[in-house]
Order: sequence, then C-alpha cells, then structure tokens
Amino acid sequence: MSTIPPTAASAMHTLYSDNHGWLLGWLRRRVGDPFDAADLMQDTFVRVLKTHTGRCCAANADPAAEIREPRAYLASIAKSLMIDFFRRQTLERTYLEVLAALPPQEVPSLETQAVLRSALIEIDAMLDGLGLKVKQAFLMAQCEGVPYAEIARRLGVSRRSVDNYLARAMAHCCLLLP
Amino acid sequence: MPTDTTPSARDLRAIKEAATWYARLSSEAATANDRHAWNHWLASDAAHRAAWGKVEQVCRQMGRLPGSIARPTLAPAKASRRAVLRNLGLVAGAGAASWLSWRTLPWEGWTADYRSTVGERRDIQLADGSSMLMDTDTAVDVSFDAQARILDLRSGAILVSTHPDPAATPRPFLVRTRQGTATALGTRYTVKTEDGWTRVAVLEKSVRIEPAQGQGAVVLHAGQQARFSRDTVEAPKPNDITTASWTSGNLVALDMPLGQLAAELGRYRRGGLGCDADVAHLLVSGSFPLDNTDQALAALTQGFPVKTARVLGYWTRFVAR
Repeated sequence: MSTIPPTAASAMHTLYSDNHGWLLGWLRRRVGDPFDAADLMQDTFVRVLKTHTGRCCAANADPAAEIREPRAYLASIAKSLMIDFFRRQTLERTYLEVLAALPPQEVPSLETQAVLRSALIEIDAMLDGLGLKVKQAFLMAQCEGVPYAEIARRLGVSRRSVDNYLARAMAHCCLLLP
Repeated sequence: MPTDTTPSARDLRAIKEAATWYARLSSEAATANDRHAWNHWLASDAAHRAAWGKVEQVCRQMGRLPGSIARPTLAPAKASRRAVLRNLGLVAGAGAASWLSWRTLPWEGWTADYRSTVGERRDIQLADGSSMLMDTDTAVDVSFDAQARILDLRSGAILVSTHPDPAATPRPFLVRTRQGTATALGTRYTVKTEDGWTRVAVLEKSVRIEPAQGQGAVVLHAGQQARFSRDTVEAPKPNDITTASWTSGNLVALDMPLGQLAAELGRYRRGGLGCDADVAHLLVSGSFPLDNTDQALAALTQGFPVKTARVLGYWTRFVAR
C-alpha cells in the first residue's frame, strides 16, 4: 500500500469535507435507504483514494487538485458503485429464493450461508461476460457433476458444444486470476 | 517483466490448451489415453504446468459452492440476469410507454397462440428448441412452416433465445410486430411493443430490423437497442440497466422518474398504478421484484417521500407524503 504525501492527504481531506454531505444526499435520494447510501458514500471516497494514491504519487502531484469538477467526478464513481450494488441486490434476492426452495434437510446453517454468500458474489463476478448456456454447462459439470451427454440434452446442444462451452468458461476464469 | 501483468502469447496459448484439457478430462467419456496424453502435455513445458495450476485454482474456487445453489442462483434457467447487466451504457430514460396504451385492440390478444396474464411471466419452449420468455400481459402467435419461423408479437414484450434450426435447410427466425420485423442472426434479444413503436434490445450476437414500409434494414449488435416505427428506425443506443431487467424477474431502475417507474410496475399489477404529477419527476433507483409488486411499493414508500393511495378498487396512485 503506497502512502499519500501530506499535501495530497490534505487535499483529499478537503474533497471529503466539502462534498460528503452533498454526496450523501445525492445517494440518499437515489437509493432510498440511509444506511445503504452511507455505505456507498464511504466506498466512493475509498475508490477515489485508491485510484489517486496509485496513479499520482510518483510524480508527487496533488491528486485532489487535479479533479476539476469534484461533484461530477464523485457522482460518476458513485453511479458505477450503485450499479454494482443493485446487481448484488438482485443476486441476493435470487439466492434467498433458491434457499427458500431447498428441501429443509439441505438448507445450510446460517454460518455456512454467510460463507456461501461471499463465494457467490466472487464467482458471479468471475463468470460475468459468459453466455447463459456456457454458464449453465460449466456450473452443471463443475458443481453438480452432471455427465456431458446429459448437459447436452438439457441445453439442447451437441456434445461438441458442451466441450467448447466448458473450455471457454475455464479459459475465461483462468484469465481473470491474478 | 514484473510491471506487465497481461499474459504473454505463450501463456495465453497455454491457458487455452489447459482449458481444452480440462473440458476433455472432466468428461465421462475421458479415457486412459486422454490422461496419458495430458500427462505428456503437462511434462513438456513449464508454461503448461503454470496454466494447469490456474485450472486447479478455478476448480477450488468453484468447489466452494454446493450444486443445489450454484446454478439456480448464478445462471437461473429463465434468463441471464447478467446478460442484461453486461452491456450497460449509463441510464437513458428509455422512452416510457404510457400505461394507458397497453391494451390497444384487446381482441387481438385472445386470438394469439400464447398469452400471459397481468403479472405473469411465462417461459415457452418452441418446437425448434428455441425458447421465448413472455413478459406480463403479452400475446404471441407462433407459426413455423417450411420457409420461416415466425413469432407475431401482438402486444407486450418477449425475450427470445434462438436455437440453430434442426430443419435440413435452416429457416430464418423472426419476430413480427405491426411496425416491422426483427430477424435473429443467431442470438438472444427482447422485443417490446410500445405505443406505435417496437423496441428491440440485443443481448447476444445481432438482429436485423426491417420496418414494414422501410427503406432498408438496420443491424443491431449485442449491447444495443433501437426503437422503430412502420417507416423509420431510430439511431441505436446502448442498452441501459432497465432494458431487459424484467427477464430476470426484477425491474432495475437507475434515476428513473417515478412516473415512468409507476407505468412500468403498473403493467404487472391488476388495476394499474398511477402517479400524481407533483411527484412524477422524482428520480428513483433500485431493484424491484416483479412477482411481488406490493413489496416494490413498500420499498418505494419507505425510501422516498411518497405514499400510496387507493383510488378506486385496485387502482393505486403514488402521492406526495
């Protein structure tokens, strides 16, 4: 983790104190829930901090001073975080529906549920960008151990397509690893 | 090359090969010969071993999810939540369909082959292996013959996932509305009827749009949407977060005027949903469940300065709080 030069740190501080009230209001109007809005505001500033400590410090530039339109800039970051947030909400809802539909003996403990939730979020992000059938084939093969012939039948595709789907999904995931 | 994190061409090739091996070896049809050949591949190059290490890492990651939860949550059969969200351009207040315009020519719905009721979404498997997800209050005639696979969309909206034609001579797959046709070029897309317009949004591959009295066709690609009338196609725009969110059972809104949101949600409610003019401009955001619009209304009245008022019977309106 890089450190921030003192001038930059104070500029960041000014950015925060000048705009956090405004940003909170902006998010609150859009998200509704005050706690969600507060979390998103926090995340927005963390994102700004990370972006600028990484990029500017070598040149010893003052990162916050470089932001010409602080509110438009903050709003654009907050907006992209909001999209992730809604995405996650949708995932969360699907997850709860799936849990509710499980037979009682298969419902995991609350502790396991929390672990699963974070695994789902990570894997969901990892699979993002793959087509629906590719995802379905990959999850059937990898998580459920369904034979390829059966996957082909359920998806209405050829055996060869199943092979292709799995190779494509795996290559996609491997390329995302650090 | 410590600063460069993009994989080299050699690493890329190794990853592709490793993924192909993974697909071959995970199959129930894998033979001892396959495993032998894989061993040989693995031993022949350090890059191969590094790539295979990644395959194992991905398998460990996936192993954290039980099968009963993984697929239904991450790739629900009805539609891909993600395909919807993948190609967001930022919010454009996608032309609102006035809710009063929904039931033009109501008798046409009854003659259709398939019909969904208000609040219902239906998944239909078609004879050629393609599938169609019908949005609320939608009517579609299906006619497949030797020349073409045609869906006549009378009202409402559908998501189409086409399947290669099993017929000896592949037939084109097209969705027809009063305004013209949208022909699949191997693809997933939504078609929605709006007042005097048809809106097409492409989620995968591409679609050719031809207005009924048009001068030429326009091809839309994945991530694009466009509206067309009988004689014109508007300039394509990027899909926004709302475009096809219904296909996953949610209405996702980002800075949508409350009036428009009420019109959209109203399509899923018996009796309709209205909005007072003095709150219609409020910008709201959120992910609202379509199968339980009461819950959506509750979320809106908690988060925003509005309340609901019963006007007549089932007819509900948003008013200022």
